[in-house]
Amino acid sequence: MKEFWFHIKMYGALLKMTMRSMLQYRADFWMSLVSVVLLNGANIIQLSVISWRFHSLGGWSVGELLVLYGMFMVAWSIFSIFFRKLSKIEEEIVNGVFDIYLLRPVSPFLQLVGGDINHIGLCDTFMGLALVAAGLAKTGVRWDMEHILWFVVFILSGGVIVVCIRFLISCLAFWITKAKALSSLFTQLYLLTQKYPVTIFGKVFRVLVTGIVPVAYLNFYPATYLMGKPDAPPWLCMLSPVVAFVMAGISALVWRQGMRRYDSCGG
Amino acid sequence: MITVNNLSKTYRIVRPREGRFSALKSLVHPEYIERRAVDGIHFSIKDGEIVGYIGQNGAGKSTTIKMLSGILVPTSGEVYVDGLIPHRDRKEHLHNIGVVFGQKTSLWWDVPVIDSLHILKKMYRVEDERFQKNLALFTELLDLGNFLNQPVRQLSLGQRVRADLAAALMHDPKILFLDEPTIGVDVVAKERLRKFILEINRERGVSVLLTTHDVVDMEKLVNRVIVIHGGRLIYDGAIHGLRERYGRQRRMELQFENEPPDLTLPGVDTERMEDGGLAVMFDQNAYTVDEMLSHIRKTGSTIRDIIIQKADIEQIVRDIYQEGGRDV
Repeated sequence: MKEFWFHIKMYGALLKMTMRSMLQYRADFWMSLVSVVLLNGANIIQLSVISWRFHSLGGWSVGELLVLYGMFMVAWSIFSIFFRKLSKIEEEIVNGVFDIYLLRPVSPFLQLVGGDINHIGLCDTFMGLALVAAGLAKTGVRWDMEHILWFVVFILSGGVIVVCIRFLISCLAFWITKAKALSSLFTQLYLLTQKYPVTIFGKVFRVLVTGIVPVAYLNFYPATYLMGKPDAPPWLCMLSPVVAFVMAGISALVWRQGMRRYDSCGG
Repeated sequence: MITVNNLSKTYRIVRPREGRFSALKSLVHPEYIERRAVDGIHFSIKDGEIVGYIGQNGAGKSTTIKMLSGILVPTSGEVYVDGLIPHRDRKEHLHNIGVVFGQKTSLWWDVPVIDSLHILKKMYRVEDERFQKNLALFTELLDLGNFLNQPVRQLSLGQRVRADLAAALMHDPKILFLDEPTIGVDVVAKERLRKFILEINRERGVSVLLTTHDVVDMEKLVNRVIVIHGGRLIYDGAIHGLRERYGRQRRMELQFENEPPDLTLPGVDTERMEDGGLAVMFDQNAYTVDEMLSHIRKTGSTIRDIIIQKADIEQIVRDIYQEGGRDV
């Protein structure tokens, strides 16, 4: 327990250092803020154009699609605010920064995560929540307390899942060089599942995004359950925290193996 | 303090592939290239020693230091540092050691030096009193006062290494690993670093293992050297032992009236100098000076000027390398 508090305190101290470093580059801060707002705006316009032309997509109304899209953004923002550095393991190894982490008596994982905080990601959180609210208003669906609790569970589980997926891809850097090429393959997956209900794709795709790279648990299953859609049985949707738990377990194992496999960068 | 037994490290590098899906291919069916960076070395270092660990680039110095500090897991063999196995007992071990890489900083790049020292204090759980005491001492000895409040990226290399040294010593380690601490640092700053290392060694009994290419570092800091070449230990002993062993090496610098001759004699190295002269390196056990001169005269060249020198440490180390090392 004492160790736990020590690590929480260290995480705080590391974030403080990170923020202090970031404040050295103020112009950067504003530029990236503007670009994120523009980017999200473009995405939403695209979505509304698509929704307007088709009215519904695979049995999903415009409002339901907004909830689908919004939930993805909120879960994703957990990764992009706090854990972005996890997708940079390869760079940290190549730059020799990882060696430095291993020289300090604090978990290298914590040092990695504590090395970045992305306030701009909050835009995604708010915009995602706004989209969910807009979607609910449009469909006229009302959530009771139970729905809201499930929403929180889904978002947190989705956050864990996306963090684990990005982390596992990044961990490949312990075994292969050029792990980056693979990660762009996965980006294609996210792009599809963020906007479209996975039921419009074939069975193979559904299995892929459910059991192998479970991105469907970021938004499709949660929205199916919360909006009462017939696209998937409720028990499959409610597995979300279990999926998150399993992903976290796999990540911990892979990390441990990776550390054992770690060979610095030669020399 | 440090015991190293039959230590080896082999890097298994995945052969990079070209073309489409290359990353996927190398994940599914990797091809490995093996490179033996450290090959069965033995040594031990006692409390309070300062040992120079020398060798050419790529000889395996950094790999050894990384294994001793727990960053790398050895492929085979044993390492004990103060009774602990570095990679296994990592966290406990890290409290016993301080590490400085001359080529990269362990400080936070964009924040003032003092902030880095403070967060390290928390990481190592150093008590306030001890921290203040050390800070005052190092600030004085390393003259940190001028730049404690500057971000690391604004420091000169010499200042940065001084700050890194202070950071590595804040938690009172028993052992200091220094990997090329003086590289790229100007002469005055080098001198200050050396004085500091000696002082820390004398006053606190800190053992030091340092790698360096600098002959002056070796002569001023170190009483014992370990030479590594191609991953193998080729010399371990007193620095004056090196000189004794190779002290009969001579470097003869010759100027000629006409074109310098091509001299091919077994065990003799020659080198064209920038001023057009010829340097001849030989061992007096193999050739006397008189014999060497008559060999040169036989080529028909006329000697105009001649300087004969004893080999310096650098020359000696180079000779050990060229021999491929004698087993110790």
